[in-house]
Amino acid sequence: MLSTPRQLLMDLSLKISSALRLLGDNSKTEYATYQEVLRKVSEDLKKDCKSSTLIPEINVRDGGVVTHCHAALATLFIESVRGGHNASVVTSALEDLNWPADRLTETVQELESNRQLIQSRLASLGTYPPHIVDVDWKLNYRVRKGNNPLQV
Amino acid sequence: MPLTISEDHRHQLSLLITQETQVVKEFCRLATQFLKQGVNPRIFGSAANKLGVQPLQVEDAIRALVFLLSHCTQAAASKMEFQDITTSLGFTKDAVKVLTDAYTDNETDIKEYLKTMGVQTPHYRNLEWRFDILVGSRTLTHIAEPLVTLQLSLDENTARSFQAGESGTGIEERSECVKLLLQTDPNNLVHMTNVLEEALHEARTHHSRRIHRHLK
Repeated sequence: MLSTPRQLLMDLSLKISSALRLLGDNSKTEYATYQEVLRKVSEDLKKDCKSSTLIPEINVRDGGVVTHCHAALATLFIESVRGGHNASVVTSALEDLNWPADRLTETVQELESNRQLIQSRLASLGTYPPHIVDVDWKLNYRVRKGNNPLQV
Repeated sequence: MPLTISEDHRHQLSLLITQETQVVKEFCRLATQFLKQGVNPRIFGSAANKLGVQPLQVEDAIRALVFLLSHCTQAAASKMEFQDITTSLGFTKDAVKVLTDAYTDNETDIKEYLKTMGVQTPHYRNLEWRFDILVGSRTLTHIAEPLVTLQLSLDENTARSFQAGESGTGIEERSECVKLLLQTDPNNLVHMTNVLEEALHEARTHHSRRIHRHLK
């Protein structure tokens, strides 16, 4: 059987790419802000329920740009797990977006540590027949059935 | 189990005691029809007109006859025992013979019907299986997950009373086949196989065999 080559590049939309470029830019996004976004993305992907909004102080000046960066980073994480892209593919994608080495390493490390969890979350989405996980049994000997077979 | 007929049933059957053997034979036929597919209420009316009684008395007599047949079948009464009980009710010799013939001829059918009464649990019928490999989904591409898809067919015997205009009153027995689509993975399948092997082993232990011998 011929094996098809796995995708070596990540396919990210223009919006996502530009938001990620902004997040990785030292001159435009402070390290503290980037770290907060990374922490929030990790936290949100671990949670079951809908997450609360970002810390208000970060949002006030930027008018929702930080939220876009949060969404872009979350998309990067999910898409890399969904497509089965390993760390090197993600690294080269972020290098193309001019990410500095320290932020890049930290982000990829965070992705790898959460990969299993994101994968199991994605696998649980979708419609499947009931999945059997266990079986209980009981051994009975029938002694007798009821007295009134027919009510007249 | 003692074979007893209550006073109410005796009273309901008393209509037949005074009738000719041919009438008793016809009532036996109606009783077995009542069990299998129901009887049109018009029959009660026409029979009542012929005998000069109320339709309700005819219906009660048929129901009482059905009860007599099913009660004796349930108690696994022998031919002799059935003849004794019908004689004690006051039937003539010929009528007793007709009733006994009806009892023996329909024993299998009545037993089948009685099986559908009482506590019913779905019964295993068939299991189809299919081995799949999930290679991808919308949410996860590039995977290779082995899955076993199962179609479990179950029999559910149901007996329900119905009152429909055309077909009359009666009790209908139906066997429904329920199909369940299930899935499992090879690890869980091995685990289930081991658990069910334990169940089979339990049936062969000294304890189970002793209970079985005592209950026989």
